[in-house]
Amino acid sequence: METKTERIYLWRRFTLREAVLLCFCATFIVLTRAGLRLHLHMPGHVMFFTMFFMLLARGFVPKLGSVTLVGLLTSLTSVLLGMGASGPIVLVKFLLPAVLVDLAGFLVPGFVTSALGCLAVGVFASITRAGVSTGVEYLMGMEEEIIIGKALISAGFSGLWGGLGSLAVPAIIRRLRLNGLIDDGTEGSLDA
Amino acid sequence: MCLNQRLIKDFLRLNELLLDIDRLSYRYPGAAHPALSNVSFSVTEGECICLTGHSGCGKSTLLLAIMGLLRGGRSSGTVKIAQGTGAAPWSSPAGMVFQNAESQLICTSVAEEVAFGPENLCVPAGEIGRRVMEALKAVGMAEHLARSPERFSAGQKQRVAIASVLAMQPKLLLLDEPTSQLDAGGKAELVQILGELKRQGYTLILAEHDPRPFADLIDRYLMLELGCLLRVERSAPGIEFFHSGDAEVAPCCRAEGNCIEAAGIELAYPETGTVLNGVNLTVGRGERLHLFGRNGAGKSSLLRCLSGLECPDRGEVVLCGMKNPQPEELPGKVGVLFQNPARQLFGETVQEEVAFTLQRQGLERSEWEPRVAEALEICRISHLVERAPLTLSFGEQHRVALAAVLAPRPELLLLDEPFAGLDFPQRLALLGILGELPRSLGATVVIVSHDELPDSRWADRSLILSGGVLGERSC
Amino acid sequence: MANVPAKGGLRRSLRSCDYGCQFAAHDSPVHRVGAGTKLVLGMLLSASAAGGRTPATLGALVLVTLCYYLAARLTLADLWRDIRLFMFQAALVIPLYCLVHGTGKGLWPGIRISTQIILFYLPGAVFLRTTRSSEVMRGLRRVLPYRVSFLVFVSVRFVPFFFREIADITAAQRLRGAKLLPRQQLNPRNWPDLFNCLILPLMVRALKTADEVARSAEARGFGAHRERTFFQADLLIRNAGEAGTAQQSEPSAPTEKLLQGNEGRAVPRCTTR
Repeated sequence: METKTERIYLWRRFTLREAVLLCFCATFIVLTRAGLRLHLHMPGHVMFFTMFFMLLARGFVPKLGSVTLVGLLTSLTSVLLGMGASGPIVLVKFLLPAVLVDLAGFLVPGFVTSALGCLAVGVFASITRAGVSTGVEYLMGMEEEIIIGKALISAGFSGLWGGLGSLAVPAIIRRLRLNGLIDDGTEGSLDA
Repeated sequence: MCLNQRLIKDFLRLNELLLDIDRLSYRYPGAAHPALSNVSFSVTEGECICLTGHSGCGKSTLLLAIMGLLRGGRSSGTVKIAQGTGAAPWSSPAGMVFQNAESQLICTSVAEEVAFGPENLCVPAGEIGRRVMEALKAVGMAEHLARSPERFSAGQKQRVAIASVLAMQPKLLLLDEPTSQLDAGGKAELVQILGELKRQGYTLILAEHDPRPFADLIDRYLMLELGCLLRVERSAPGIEFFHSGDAEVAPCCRAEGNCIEAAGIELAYPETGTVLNGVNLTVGRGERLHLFGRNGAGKSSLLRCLSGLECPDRGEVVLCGMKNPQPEELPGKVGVLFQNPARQLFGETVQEEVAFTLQRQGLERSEWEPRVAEALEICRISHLVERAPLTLSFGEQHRVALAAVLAPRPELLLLDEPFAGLDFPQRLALLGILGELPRSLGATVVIVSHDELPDSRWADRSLILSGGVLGERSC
Repeated sequence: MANVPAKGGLRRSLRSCDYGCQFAAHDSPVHRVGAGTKLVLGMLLSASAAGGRTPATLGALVLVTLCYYLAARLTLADLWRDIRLFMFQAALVIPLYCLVHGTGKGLWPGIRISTQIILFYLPGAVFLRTTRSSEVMRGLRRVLPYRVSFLVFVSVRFVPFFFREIADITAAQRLRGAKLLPRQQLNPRNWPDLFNCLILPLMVRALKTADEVARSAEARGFGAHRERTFFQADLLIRNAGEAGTAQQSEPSAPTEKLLQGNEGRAVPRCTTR
């Protein structure tokens, strides 16, 4: 009897199915970003679903680089759909929290099923994103004191929303694993 | 016949052989039983073969095995596909059109979609352009090059999917349940296209649980059951296969008063224009109504207007005594089941899923538990009460969704394309369940579909939606 | 019978392109400029925003950027949609400056910085509003490996698909009693409904669709070879349009408006990558 395995498609680790699934996570981030923007206009609120889907992506494909791929695809899709007025900064805005989530996954592989783990990662990744635009503000001549104050306020809101969004992830991941819809991430060298 | 003549005949016959499957078996990861078991058959060039059988018999799995797309399981046996006579350079030996055209189309314009396959085969750019136009002409979609398939009908999407495969110039064309989303008109168009392709020399393998529309094309029927090839037939499965039999239809249970009173419903969309043009509909209590119409006629739009999801531009709806109700007012009084109802499942157990609406209505466990049991009994899935809905088969999930809608004992049940994706016995069984509801629950049942009902005796009344207006049909 | 306005919400707001930087499908001198040139021009304008330290220079920069914006035949309504997010930032920056330096000394720096930030981002908005997505996609295909650009295009392609799925699942669940309306979701006690009744089924759907998409791509040979032909479909569309054999696209949803075939541009080369 022969076992047929899936072909590796991207970055020597992702199968095509996994890559498409991660790309859908990017689609959801973009969709929710567009929708929320229209209704709420609250600072940092887009981090609610951004962190949710980034952490979910880690749960779907528990491999190093999965969330980074989501961040990359989200920024490029945002640009294509006209949501990337900030230019190259939009890349950093999504890649930075994504890389942090990947790093957390590398250090603590099973964190997505822990509410505390998701909360910590969600808050921290959201906070760092708030500092992305400080470079531009410094170039424009904003005083350091104001930059720090603004960044703190921004970080506070982003962290709050990101943390709230991340809390729902463990329950969803557990339910999907229980129903055999996603792997539990314990097989092989997933973080290679 | 002398030995040399026999050898020449065998040699010629081997040259015509396009597909040879020898003792193919396959088991999905973690599955208790194999999906395919020792299947052997061969297909010669220019033939049209139909794989047929009930849901779960292995038709789709067999097609995926031929394409080499099965992953992660255990297989044995061989699948050999010849290049075929006159095979073009940069061509694929086989191409497959999947059941769900929506997720098969992955590009943003028709031209890109059809060019996708040849691009992957590294066909030179100049040749790709020629192939794209040829393939689109073959399916009658050449004038839609620039358009996004997003707003296409199911039939048009199907045709673009076929074109995208034809552009790879395969000799063998596999189609998985190609008529599942099509109305009668769409099926007729598809039969015409496939007939033309067969005349051009394509070899076709169809997986269909209802092969009747293709009877004139099909050379052989391969009957599958539980992954095994039962028999090969030259003629269509017997009429009794699709006969509703002598099963009794529950008698009419009309009661006094009306359940639905809709007057002067008008609805128009900016993109498609007027969809409903002064629709008047009255449905009596306990009635079983079949609302028929081709794809795009406005049936789903009418259902959305009735259930308050869409505000008509004009007109009034009274549903179970509620005037122009909002969707939030309907749970408990009106049950609505949309197409592909498995999409709404989320419970940890079937019981939790079915109890959801009852719990939202504030019922205690002692009150909702018997109602859940009753609904499961009606839908004949009591044995699944502790199972996780997301692990069930498509047909079982369908019934769980129905049970969830029946549990609150609604006065009115609206069903949008409830038979989509079900084979004939499943459709008949579902129709039987729905036929009993006026008697068992006192419910009025309205079925909206683009297909004829499996049993034409079911409906007390049949209407047709065409040109934005409703008209009577003779039952 | 009185006309009843159609229900609004996410569907209508997305369809009407309410959010900023959406492609504006009309002609203008800026539309006709090549994407690369616009990119360089935009970068220069953005960089110059850092120099607006005095009222005179800032005023000049505002004038130049506004002229660039209006040369693209974009309206003041478009301008508001593009900069309103930054206005919220301004609402944070100006009070902060006033808090630190007092209203007298803090007001001008606050206004200056806020204006500079807007001037930094506005050329990017002009680029997005005057450059068809097909051009951006073409550029991406040249720069990114095809395996990544494919994923970007699939992500864009399935935006309307999942938007419809969200709408359909929401409709079905509302009819079962789930509290999913935006006003109901303002109450955190209804958030479990959002995740259980909408997000979870949506994720199940995403998993299934990912399977189907991957199979569809693989069945058509995707990823089988290291190289892949780079075919420019808009050239074929243009030729077919000139020959009168192709219908014009009928954009409706925002993603369709963005992804129209190219018209009237220089003939691009077909290359093999």
